[in-house]
Amino acid sequence: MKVVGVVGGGTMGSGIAQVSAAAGFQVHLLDINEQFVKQGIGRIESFLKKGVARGKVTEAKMQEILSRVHGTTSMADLSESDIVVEAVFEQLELKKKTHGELDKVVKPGCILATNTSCLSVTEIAAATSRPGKVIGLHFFNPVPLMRLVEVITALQTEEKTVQDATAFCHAIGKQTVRVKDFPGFLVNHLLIPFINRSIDVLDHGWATRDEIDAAAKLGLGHPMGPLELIDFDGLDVHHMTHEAMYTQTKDPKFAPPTLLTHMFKAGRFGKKSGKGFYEY
Amino acid sequence: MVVGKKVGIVGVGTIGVGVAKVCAAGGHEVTLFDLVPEKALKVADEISAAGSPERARVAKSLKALANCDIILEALPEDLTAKVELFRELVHKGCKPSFWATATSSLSVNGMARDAELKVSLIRMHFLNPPDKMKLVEVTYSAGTDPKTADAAKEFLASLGKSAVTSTGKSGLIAYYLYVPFLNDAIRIYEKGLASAEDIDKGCCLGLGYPVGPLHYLDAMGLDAFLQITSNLYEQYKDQGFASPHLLQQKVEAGELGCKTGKGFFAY
Repeated sequence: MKVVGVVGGGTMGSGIAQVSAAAGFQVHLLDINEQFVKQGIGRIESFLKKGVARGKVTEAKMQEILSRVHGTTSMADLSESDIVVEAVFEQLELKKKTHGELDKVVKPGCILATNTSCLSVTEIAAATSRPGKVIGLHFFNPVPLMRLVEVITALQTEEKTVQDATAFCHAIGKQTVRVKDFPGFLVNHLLIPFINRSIDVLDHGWATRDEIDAAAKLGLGHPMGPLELIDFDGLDVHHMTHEAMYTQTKDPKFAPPTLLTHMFKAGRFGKKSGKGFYEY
Repeated sequence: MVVGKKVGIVGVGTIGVGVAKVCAAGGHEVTLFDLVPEKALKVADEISAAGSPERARVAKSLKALANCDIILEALPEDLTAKVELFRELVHKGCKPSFWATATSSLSVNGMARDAELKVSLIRMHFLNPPDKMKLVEVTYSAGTDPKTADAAKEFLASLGKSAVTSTGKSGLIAYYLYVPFLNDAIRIYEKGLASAEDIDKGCCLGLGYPVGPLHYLDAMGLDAFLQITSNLYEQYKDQGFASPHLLQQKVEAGELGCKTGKGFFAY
């Protein structure tokens, strides 16, 4: 593998492009317009600049990494990719459409990977003529810092695709876990009910926000309390993820609790909006 | 800061041992009792070796706990056994300023009532491992007066612990959140959706947990966890506490975790 395509220049997409370029891959970063492409590359640049300021990356290395990231608004520029990682919004129809289009453009052996935290990789694979070459690669935010990638095997994914995609993750400095395609995969399947229960405790008034977060940090050794974590990830992201998991499972433990829904509707998205369970 | 309290600890399993060490380090005098005296002796030796020889001794009988200011029970999560122990301690003349139970899954009020305790029973759920985790989940039995509650809080503060309380039915926060998580982790393994290694690796690297759920369970003992989650389910009928079939099977097969050499992992 030499050439990597990334679809979507948001937080996740730009992070994936960055770590791929840093590992020596040529990267084509696709988004729907010039502005989004620019913003995506801008994210990489500002992340690396902070690294330069801290003495973690040299100026020359930063330039070298950036020189390997090629922004584009034309999907045809992804045709020579060995693997394309799609990181568009977490909407099933959008992801299916994107993979259907990529399928027509990229070369026959190219792996199509979807960066999703909660949607069915099997269904996305079924939207292409190469379902055996489709796989889920769930990166964690922030991508350059989080070491894990969940490698999700859809019902159709071929073993060679799993091996090659796993090798790609290792090549860009990530550690992998292999999981089957089930709602929320490993991490969110376990985390979302934990989060929901923490919101329930708060909403019932059984304990305070600070006690809940202290319980997880001081009692379980978690780096962040569940309420801090939601604020960090974004309540909008959580609301969407919980909804998606509930839709797939009809299991109430995944459904967004009323308080989460109300806070989402009130625009309290957490850190990014200045107010969530905490104020920023 | 309170120091020099005489603390009696009954049952030197993982929690009892950890709490004994924390108490000795906090400047208290610990008297340990276990039905297997060698276990208690070993802990007392470890505490002495750690530099506090005058702070740990072993009781040959429950009667030797009669002069303790605080008595904590850390027996397995079996209500009958705990109630019988408290009755026996009262019978032997123990008159602590308050009783403490390390239970994570049983009702404190129910226990106090069944044991007919005259002074407050206070749940002090030390999270595992007690020497590393700062949290103690505290529940006061009905009628605990503010003075006793303060004394309990001061005692925990002297151990460097942070106390949290929940007014929810279970009285728990950490375990209210984490026990269902552990049950789900077992189910993912049971269904073959990911390997045991990958389940733990995913939680450590993806969520930053210090230990993966399956290792946590193996360290705690699968029999102990089955008892906890079953007790909680029985009382609250919360699906999160329903035990996975595989957990029951492993306990039946004697695969109890680290202590038997095999649980979700081999040791």
